[in-house]
Amino acid sequence: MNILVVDDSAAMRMIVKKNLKALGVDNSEIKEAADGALAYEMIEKSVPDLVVSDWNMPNMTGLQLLEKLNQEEIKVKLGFVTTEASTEMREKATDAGARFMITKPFTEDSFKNGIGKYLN
Amino acid sequence: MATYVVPSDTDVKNALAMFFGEDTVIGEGENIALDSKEAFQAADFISPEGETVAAFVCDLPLTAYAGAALTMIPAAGAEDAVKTGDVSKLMLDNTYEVVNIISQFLMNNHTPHLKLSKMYSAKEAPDALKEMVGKTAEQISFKVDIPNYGSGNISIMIT
Repeated sequence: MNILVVDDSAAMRMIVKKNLKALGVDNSEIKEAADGALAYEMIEKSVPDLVVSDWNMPNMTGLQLLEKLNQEEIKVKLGFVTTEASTEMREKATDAGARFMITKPFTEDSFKNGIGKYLN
Repeated sequence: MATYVVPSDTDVKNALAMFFGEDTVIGEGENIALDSKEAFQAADFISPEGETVAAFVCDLPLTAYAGAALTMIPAAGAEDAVKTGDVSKLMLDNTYEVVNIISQFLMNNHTPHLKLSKMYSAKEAPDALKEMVGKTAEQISFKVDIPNYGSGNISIMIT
């Protein structure tokens, strides 16, 4: 499966990739984007099976990315890995159709519990 | 009484284990005053209204070791940085990520929101951070021992 990891932190993209690989995802199946706008461009060209996105990013936030995908009727499974854990944010994410919300910092188990069912 | 939660060493361990692994050791650290020679980097945390409500101060070893370990810059690079005081932009960016993650434990469902605004060289800290000294309700410091790298101190001041 093809997965797009979106985060403005290179370190966090590396951590997310490491955890995806620990769950059996091959490195070649994982692409990266450093913000929501770049992620949108990449998704327009080739829709991945899953998008794992940070929330707070420059240019386009994770929520703005999801809302734009909805608006353009680009169907893709998207979930968040974020420090934003407030009830308000979770509700916004759920209302927009986010599949999961994993809170940073996460453990291997909490990451697996959040995302496992969306991996082949 | 502090507006925010005072993080425990377990909180800090849980935060940093994501980056550095379960062998990361957290213990009681030395308080670092913002204007001390030990202060190297200072992180400014602001409320939704833009007011400084918390500050983290890191010493040079923490900045170098955490900054290197996060993206697996060789330990020798971190040692050089500790010796020379010359820390790369990547190490500084990585330290930003480290303090950002720890800051999540200052909040719960009952506290106001805060977010990391910017990190500064301690010598160039703006007045808002210097004023934290007078507004600090709680200060707690941790010694962070990063496996295969080294240890350093981080002081957390909250209003």
